[in-house]
Order: sequence, then C-alpha cells, then structure tokens
Amino acid sequence: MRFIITLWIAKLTAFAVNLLDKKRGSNYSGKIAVKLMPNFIAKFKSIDYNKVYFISGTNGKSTTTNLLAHTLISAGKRVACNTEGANMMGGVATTLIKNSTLSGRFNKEFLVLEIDERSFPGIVKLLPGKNLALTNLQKDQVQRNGDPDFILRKFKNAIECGMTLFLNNEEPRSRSLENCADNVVYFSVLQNEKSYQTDDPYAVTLPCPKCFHPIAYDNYNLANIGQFHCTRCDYASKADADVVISNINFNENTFVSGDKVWNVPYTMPFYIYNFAMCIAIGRIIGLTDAELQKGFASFVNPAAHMDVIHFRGKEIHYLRGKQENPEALQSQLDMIAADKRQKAVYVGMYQITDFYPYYGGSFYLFDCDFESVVKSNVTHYVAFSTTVANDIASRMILAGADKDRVSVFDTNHIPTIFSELDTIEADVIYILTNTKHAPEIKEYFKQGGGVNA
Amino acid sequence: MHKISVGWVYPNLLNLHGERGSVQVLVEIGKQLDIDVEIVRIEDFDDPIPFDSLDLLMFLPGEIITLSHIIPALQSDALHNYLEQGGYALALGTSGLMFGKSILREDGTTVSGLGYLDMTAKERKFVFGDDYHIRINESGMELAGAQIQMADVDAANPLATVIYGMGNNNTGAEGARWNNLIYTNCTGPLFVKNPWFAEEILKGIMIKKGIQITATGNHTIAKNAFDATLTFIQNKPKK
Repeated sequence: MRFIITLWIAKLTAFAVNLLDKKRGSNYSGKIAVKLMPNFIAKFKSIDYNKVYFISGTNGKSTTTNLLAHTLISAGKRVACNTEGANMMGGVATTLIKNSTLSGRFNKEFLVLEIDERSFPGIVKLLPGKNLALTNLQKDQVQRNGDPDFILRKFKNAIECGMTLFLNNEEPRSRSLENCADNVVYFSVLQNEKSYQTDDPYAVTLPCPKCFHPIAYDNYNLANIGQFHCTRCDYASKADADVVISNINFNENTFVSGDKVWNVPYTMPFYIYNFAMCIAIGRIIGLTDAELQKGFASFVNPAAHMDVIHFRGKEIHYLRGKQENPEALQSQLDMIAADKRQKAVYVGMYQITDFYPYYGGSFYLFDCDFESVVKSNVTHYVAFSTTVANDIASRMILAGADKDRVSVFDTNHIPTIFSELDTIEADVIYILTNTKHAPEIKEYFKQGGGVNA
Repeated sequence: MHKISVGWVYPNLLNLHGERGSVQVLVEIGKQLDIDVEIVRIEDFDDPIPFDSLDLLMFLPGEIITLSHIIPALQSDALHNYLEQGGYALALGTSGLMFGKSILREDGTTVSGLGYLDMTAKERKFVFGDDYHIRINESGMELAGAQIQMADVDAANPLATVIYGMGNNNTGAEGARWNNLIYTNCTGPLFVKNPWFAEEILKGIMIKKGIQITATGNHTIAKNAFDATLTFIQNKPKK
C-alpha cells in the first residue's frame, strides 16, 4: 500500500512538473519517490529482468543508451529508457514512474538504463537486471570518484555471476571484469586510419588490472583504448571478439562488421564503439542486422558535441565535452589536431559547481596531449574562464605554445572572451568548452548573426 | 650548464591526476635556472633503479591497490642508503602512503609500508576532493592546488599546515617529511601550480652538489593561477 501511495504521489508530481515547467527536473518525481520510499524501484511488477539493460562506464554511456533505445524502438519493441540522462536512483525511479500503470505494473517490454557508475551497486541491488554493458572505465570526476580502481571495485562487488556482461575488448580496466560473470560478450574495433601510436616521452598508460605490471598499447583507437597487452602476463585484447568492426570508411560513413557493410550517421572514433556495443546487445536480444542497420541509419544523437558556425567570415568549430575527464577531452583535442589548416584555438574549462564543494582543479588538462594541437598550425590561443584560465594557459605553454600567442581571459563574460576574434589572422576557429556553457555561447554567435552549417 | 637526473618511478603504474605535468615542468624550470634536467623513466617494478646516478625520485599518485604491489620492490638497502644520505624523493598523493608504516585498506586488510615516514594511513570509504592551500612549515612557502584524499593519514612530522582543505585527517596537518623525502597531498599538478616549490627543490639538490644557483624562474602565469585559486577558495559558498 505504501508503494502505491508513493507511486501516485510521484505520478501526480510528474504531471504537475510537466504542466508547470517541462524543462524543470527530469528526475524530480523519482527523487521524491525515493525519498519517501528508499526501495521504491524494487516494488514494480512485471519487469522481466532478463530484458533490463544497464549501460554504464565513463564515456559514451548516454549516446549508447540513446542509440540502443532508438534502435529497439525502430525495430518495433516497446522500450522504457532514461534518455534524458538522469542516471542515478532518482532518474531510474522517474523512468519507472513514467512507464507503469497506476498499480505499479511496468508497461513496456525492455528497460534500457544509463547508469552512473557510483550508483550501480545501489540500483542493481533493488532492480536486479541481468545485463550490464560497460563502455570503458577511465579517470573521471576525481574529486568524488577518486581513481578508476575505486569505481572498478564498485562494479566487482555488485556484479552477480548470472549476469551477461558486454565489455570493450580494447579497454583493459573494464574488460578485467570478465571474471565476475559467466556470460561475457566482447565488442571490438580494429586498427583503422585514425588509430595512432605515440612517441611522447611523457605518455603514460596504466597498471595491468590482473598483475599490476604496465599495460602497453599496440595502437590507440582512442585515448587509453586500443589493442593492448600486458608487458608481463598474458592479459591482452582478444583476437576473436564476438563483435568486430573493421574497414571504417570515415569519408563515406561506413564500416564492416560480420559480412556486411554498415551505413551510420557518425564515424568519429568514439561513436564506432557505441555502434559496436549496440550490435553486440542487439544480436543477443535477437534483432536482425537489418533491424540494427535501420535503427543506426536513422539515429540522431540528441547530445551531439559539435557545431560548425559561420560568423563574420570565420568558420567556427564549437566542440563540447566533459571537462573533468581526460579521455573525453582528448577526443576533442584529437579533432582539432587533425585539422592542419591555419587556425586559432579557444579553450574554456570552468569551475565545477555541480556539487559541493565547488572545485577549481584542472589537472585533467595535464593528462591530455596538447602537444599535437600545438603542432597542427595554430596561430593564436585563447585560454578563458574564471579561475581556470591561467591553468589552461600553463598547459598550452608547457605543450610548446609560444606564450606571446596565448591570450588569457580570467572571466566568463562572453563578449570579452571573443573580443579578439575579428583581429585574429586565422579564418578557422576551434572553441572547446564543457557542455554546460554551450547554450550561452551558441546564443552569443546566433545573436551576432552566426549561421549553423 | 649544470645537470640534475630525475628518476620518474613507474610512470605507467603511478599515473594519476595529470601529475606527469610536474615531471614535464621540472625540465622547463631547469632551463630557466641553467640546469639540464634529465628525466629517467623507470618503467616496471622489476627494473633496477639507478640510485647512484639520480638526484631526485618522483613517485606520482597511483591507485592504492597498485601500491601494495610496488612496496615489496622498493624494499632495498639501495633506497635506504639513498634516503639516509639525504637523497631527494617526492611522493605525491597516495604514493606517500608507501613510505609510512602501514595502510589499512577498506576491506580490513593491512599493507605494510616502507616505514621511512612515521605515519599510518586508513583508506577512506568516500573520496574527499577539493581545492587546497597549504603553508610549508620549514620555509613558510605557500602552495595551492587540489587534494584528492583516498586515505586518512596520521603523521608525526607533517610537511605543512593546512590553510584551506582537509589535509592529512582534518587536524590541520599536511603531508610528512623525513630528511629530503617529501610527501604531500597537494596535486594540481603540484609543480605546474607551484613552480616556486620545484625551483626550491632543484636549488636544494644543487646545493647538495656544492653549487649555489642564483637565477630565478619566471612564474608569472602560475602566480596568476595561484591568486585565482585563492580568490575562488575565499569566495566558495558553503553547502
């Protein structure tokens, strides 16, 4: 009875929030429900736990969750999903509230959930889904996640051996969870034209999660993701992963998996892993390749991280990313470095004010390779944002940028940040900020007559 | 040009918090002081550390689980002699725990440390992360940066006093020191945020070699960053 009352209160709250302000609180009703009844999500009826798919990991979980849900829906399946990205207990509760009857009966077939890494143990305890897909486990939000092993241990302790794990064959840390469950499906992306090696004398990898000697990469597909092997034990990328993507054509947006050529809307390297994971899950679910292909072809990522804007004669590439995460930031830097045209580079990393204590640390910048950006024909650099601007400038200069070509704006005032734009020699501009500040920056260019390409 | 050899100990194993930037910046500061700073990577804990030819050992932060595998490899007369004779060693963040007496893990197991620092550590259930501001007890030098605290530490000979932050264990004590073995929780990267501290260490090493360095580095951008961090700290809202 307590559950039903809580559910009704939550449904009423969701209705009211939707009526008053649709933008407000994607997980507000769920938060209230969990506060009233901490084990709320355990009480829903008719959930087939074999059809619950948790998508977690450091990078790529939102895109993969959206892609999987979209593909399942396009194949005619009934799917509940926390596509808004509310990925903690309250967000999961909200998804269940929205997809259940007044008596608490889950009214969809599949439940696809993006899950915050630290929240996974608490959620799986109450909602014992049988499938966990991990994109990767990397350095992220260290002021609350500490180090990757802190997160790895949370998964180790929470995974039940009866689960099916979907693991990235090229990411050593998350793949080491393979011993925690009986069923493991591996997905893999082979070396491709955007893969790289490094001769950086300051490059670092990671300890082998099995024997703690150094991991070495034969090549990188992304930062700290690629064909790897332990320098001591036999831990290495498998040669026979269950899903393998090869022959990526970055110009024609195709790749090969199985005996088929797949057309996809996005081929940036991190997207390829999202597709690989979805193929792996889709095949287990029983989707045909044609159904998967149909879903992929029509997928539009609601959280796309890039715009090209034409503004006062400049071609502006505006990239956004998760700033506290070196690997995500590195993907953006790699895109800048790959463009060898003369250009200016603006970098704005900010104070972290999402939770207490507010935090101004920026050491993730120093886990990234700025050197390749510096070598890619940059004529001017702008480091901006209150508190962090000088740290960004330090990173640029340490990477070899001429300090006379680095402007520092210790402010978030957008007109000041872009005050030099008209006088900058280069016509190609790259701007890199975190996602949170994108609306105001995009609005600035829109108001100034900027046109999206 | 003078020369200093820095042993970067296990860079792939102690790999956290962008502290490789501290190694990089040592080279740049060296140039400003007319010192050729050579970086020697010691890759694996089976590889010998050439103590005789090194002037500074750098242990960057690592995962606690990795420390327990490294500690046995460091137990040697060579390290003992190096530290006993005043050799410089810098242990950042969790790496400092290796040099204490013990680390009590969250699962209840205890890892014995090397015992050079009179301190014990207890792994925290929850990570503490925040900005950081400290004053070194001996010199009065102020450092700013970040603190990612994975363990509560009880140290008999703290390196510094906390101005803002948690420190070793919320008692105002920060880090530890014995001879020239320096443990600090201040990251940032430490030397990028505080190049004056790197300069002091490089000059200390040269004094040990009988050479007085009078040149001073240009730390303008780092000083601006330092001031910005302090302003941010002072204006931080309470929860």
